[in-house]
Amino acid sequence: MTENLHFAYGEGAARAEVLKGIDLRVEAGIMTCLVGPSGSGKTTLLNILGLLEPPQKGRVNFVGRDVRQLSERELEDLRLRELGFVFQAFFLLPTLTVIENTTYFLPSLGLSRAESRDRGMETLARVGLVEHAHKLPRELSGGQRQRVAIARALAKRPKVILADEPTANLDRDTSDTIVAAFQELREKEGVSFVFSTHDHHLLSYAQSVHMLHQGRLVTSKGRGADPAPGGEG
Amino acid sequence: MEYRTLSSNTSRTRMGVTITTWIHLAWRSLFRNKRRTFASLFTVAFGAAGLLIYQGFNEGIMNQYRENTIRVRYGHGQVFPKGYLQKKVEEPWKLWLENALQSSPTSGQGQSVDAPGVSAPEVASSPNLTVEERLKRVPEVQEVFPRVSFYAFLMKGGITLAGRGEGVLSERESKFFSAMNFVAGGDLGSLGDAKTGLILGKGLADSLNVKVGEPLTILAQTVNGQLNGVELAVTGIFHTGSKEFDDTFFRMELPTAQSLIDTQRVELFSLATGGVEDWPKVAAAIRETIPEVDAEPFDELDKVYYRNAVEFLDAQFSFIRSIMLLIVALGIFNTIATGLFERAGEVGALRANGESRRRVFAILSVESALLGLLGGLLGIAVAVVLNATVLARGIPMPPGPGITRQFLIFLEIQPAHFAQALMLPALTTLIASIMPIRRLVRMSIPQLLRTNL
Ligand SMILES: Nc1ncnc2c1ncn2[C@@H]1O[C@H](COP(=O)(O)OP(=O)(O)OP(=O)(O)O)[C@@H](O)[C@H]1O
Ligand SMILES: [Mg+2]
Repeated sequence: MTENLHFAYGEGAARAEVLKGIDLRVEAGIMTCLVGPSGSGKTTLLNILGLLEPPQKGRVNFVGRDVRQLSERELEDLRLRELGFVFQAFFLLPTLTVIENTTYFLPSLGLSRAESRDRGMETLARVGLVEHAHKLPRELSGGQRQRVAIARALAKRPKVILADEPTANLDRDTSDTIVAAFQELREKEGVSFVFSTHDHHLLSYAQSVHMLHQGRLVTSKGRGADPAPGGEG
Repeated sequence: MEYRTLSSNTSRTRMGVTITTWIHLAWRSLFRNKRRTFASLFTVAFGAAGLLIYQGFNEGIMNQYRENTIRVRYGHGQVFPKGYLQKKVEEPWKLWLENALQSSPTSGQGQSVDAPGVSAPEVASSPNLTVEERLKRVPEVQEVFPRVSFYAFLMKGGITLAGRGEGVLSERESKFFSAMNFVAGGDLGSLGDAKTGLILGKGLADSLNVKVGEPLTILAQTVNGQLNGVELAVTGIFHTGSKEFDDTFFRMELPTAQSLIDTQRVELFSLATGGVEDWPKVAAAIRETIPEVDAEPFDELDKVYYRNAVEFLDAQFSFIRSIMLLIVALGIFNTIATGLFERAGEVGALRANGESRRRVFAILSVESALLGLLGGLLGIAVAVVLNATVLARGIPMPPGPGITRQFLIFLEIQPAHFAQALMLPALTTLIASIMPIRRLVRMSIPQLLRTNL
């Protein structure tokens, strides 16, 4: 949940204010979608929500904690345990197999080798990639690679998965399967999703849709603009 | 959904597992871009092989110098009357060792124990055994060579030259002093009675215009200040390569020399030990059991040639080693930096999902260390193969400073060299990659994610 977020790039004359007071509440078990023209600040907002960079002004609360109070180590730990991040360009490790990419973070979470493997296969089953577990990313299609990236984030069992234009590199049908997978995971696992997109046909999957326009948020669906404290994300 | 507390950090408690994971990850990423990895590997290998061959070559030259010094002039070291080398006296033979030689007939040199002018108290200060006998009792000492040296004139026809004579036991010495490199004739005994023979350096022989078999008159001052002469036949001409030695030195049989300068005393003993590494033990034993002498190792005696040569070569090696490592560092820096920044997006994605800076740094460092070690191993293999094939017959070297003949240099690669050839390039690789790794690790996650777009 955020309050009055401000974010600008550059300084002095080159200063470009991208976010000018964003109030957003991400609720548990909800799929939230950010839309907006290119350059409207979707990535910037997702980065702030994903605790990748702090807001210059305003507050970000994550499960009741003000993230400005957290140390680098605590932020790393939150990212590891509570958040998952998926990107347009997949960013898988090309030298690791699908299952190795999927289980990458599990030892850091304290899972043994066997536990990691079990959870990895289980997660791959959920995104429909079990038969590709031992392939390298380059042997997969774009949609399959994106599903590996989702599995990698999902295997950590996070509360929220953030996805920055996860379907921008994919064709329409594949995009649909990816967001349908989000939908299923949300329903079965109760994972919250926040994703940005240019594809308007994906909006129908989301319970909450926000449009970024000139640094402000315009909510077109759901209860996103509720400034009440508490909640998740 | 489970919830873990913030404070639990399991990755810190699983160091062992973590390190194997790092190595595993590092190993896999090495082969991500084979062309680039091989380019770096070859650069590092080139450095390692270069270091190994160059150092082996250096060691080979030093060996050659050392052998020449030991097996021509000094033995592994020499023993002098106490204080002899430090004192500058007008009549040095007054300090020479009396009754130093073994009296048994096997020495065959007929030393009379009761040399004239020996006063009893002098002898009494040392134990009953002679210096030679006590030297031979030192376990590491394999052979002892008593000698005297003196200045003399060598005369042939109308030519007279000054030279430095040495009286030696040629039969005993010939087995050990094997690097004389006779270019004509042979040792003192080669034409008959060794006592009438003389060998001399090539430079001296050329100046005197004397050949093997020809007579030469030697004129020297006796210890009593009189002039004395002896006519000897040249039995051999040596060409050791050391200009100073070949231009001034000649040798004759010890008793001949002693009677020429009219003394029974011995100036010094050259020693043959099990090897250069025995010297500290030998010196300690001599200090303990033979208080009337000083023992000096060959490299101390041959400061100008051997010691300086070694120091010169060492300094040169250090310099060239730095250059080689610098070339390796510059050669791989770009490749490594490019490879690293291509991975900014992946690193950003990992960090966005909770990977710590520390772990990213560790994995990437392990990777570059691994690259360095592999390159080092490859280089060592190349050097060993080269040494066993192309370089096996030795490398002919033109005469060095102060040297007048060509030498064949054989690479001398020692275990310590392997360690150095492995570790230095590996370390260089690591150091060359630390900068780009640090730059990558310090970037913020949004920066990383933007880099490759
Ligand atoms: N590192 C940066 N330095 C300066 N300006 C930046 C930086 N990153 C983004 N911007 C600017 O901030 C604005 C918002 O960028 P952002 O990437 O958040 O937009 P976006 O909505 O994700 O766009 P797109 O749909 O093209 O991905 C843009 O005008 C962009 O040019
Ligand atoms: Mg964007």
